[in-house]
Amino acid sequence: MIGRSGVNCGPAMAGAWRAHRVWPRLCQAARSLGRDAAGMGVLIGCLKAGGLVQPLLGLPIPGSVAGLCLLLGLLAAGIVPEELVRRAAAAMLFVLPALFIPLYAAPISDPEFWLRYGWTLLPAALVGAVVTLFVTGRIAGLLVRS
Amino acid sequence: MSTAVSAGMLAAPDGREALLAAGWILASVAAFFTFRGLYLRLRLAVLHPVIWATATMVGLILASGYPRAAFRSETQPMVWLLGPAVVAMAVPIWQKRGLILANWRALAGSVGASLLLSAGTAMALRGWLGADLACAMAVRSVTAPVGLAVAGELGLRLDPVVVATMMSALVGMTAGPFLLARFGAHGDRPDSGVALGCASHALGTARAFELGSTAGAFASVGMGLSAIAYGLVMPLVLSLF
Repeated sequence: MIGRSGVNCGPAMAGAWRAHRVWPRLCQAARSLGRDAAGMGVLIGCLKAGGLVQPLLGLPIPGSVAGLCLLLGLLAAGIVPEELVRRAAAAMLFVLPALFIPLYAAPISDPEFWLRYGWTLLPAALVGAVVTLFVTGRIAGLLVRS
Repeated sequence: MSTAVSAGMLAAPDGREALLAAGWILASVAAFFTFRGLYLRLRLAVLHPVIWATATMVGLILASGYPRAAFRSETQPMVWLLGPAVVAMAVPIWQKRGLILANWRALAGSVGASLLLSAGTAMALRGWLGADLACAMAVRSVTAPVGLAVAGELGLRLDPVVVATMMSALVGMTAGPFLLARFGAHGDRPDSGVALGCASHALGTARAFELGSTAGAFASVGMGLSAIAYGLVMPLVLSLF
């Protein structure tokens, strides 16, 4: 084995050289993995804690939304550093669109659903979407200009 | 998202069910990432991977004649992940706090208007549509995981919510910029972004990023703030029905 300096280092030196290069990378990867796992734990912990809000307050607020507000509060108070949850949250939001697919596919492939709801739901949702776009666009435009 | 699922009570599947579940989940994820590659190459909103991956899965279900109830139960682990994904929205909202504080009036006005409009439509049309569809109309402008969580919390049918939110997203994504231009909000501007985020959530935000970074940033903030506002206010409004 010829080392970088051109000196014949031998197998023991080559192993040490490889270990010298690989070990910090392994440590770095383990640290990132640990931080991402902790970040994911914080997200699930907030979801679970959010689920306790409803029985405590007697309000029909979804646990996930209460968890979102809780995490915002923890970030604002500096209890959870942004660095801890940043990558875990980015990963969850990256896969979020893929999570919609089975959710959408089940009712769309159901002819009974369309026969029962299609004729009322489709026009109502279409008109509703156009009206909401128009109103929110107008109001945002007026308020941004003012 | 059913209450049982949101509470994390997933039933342990047997070997065959677990294999089928893994197959459907893998097929959904593979279809999504295949179409995502195409979408990233061509950058056209109508090629959004959610649309074409969903169409592929619908085709697979119909062609195989697979029972929908089994499909639903086998893909529950994916649906459960919507809970942590909603919590994760806190991070981009926190990161964009400067933008939110600088434009709080426009954002609060738009999110409030969207909320009032959705609640008003639902109340006005309840007699004609019935409780399930009225609820779907009430949460049509918020991202599906929040809309489903609200409907699940009130024990209402989830399928109409899924279709209503999807229709809102599709209208915003395909015709949103054209409609907004008719109403005076052209191109890469804060108002077009807020409108797309507040009315058409995730797909509207994807479309807004095609208009430009300003519209995209405002759309993602509008969508995130709508998720909070709808999640906190709409269950109380709908429980009065």
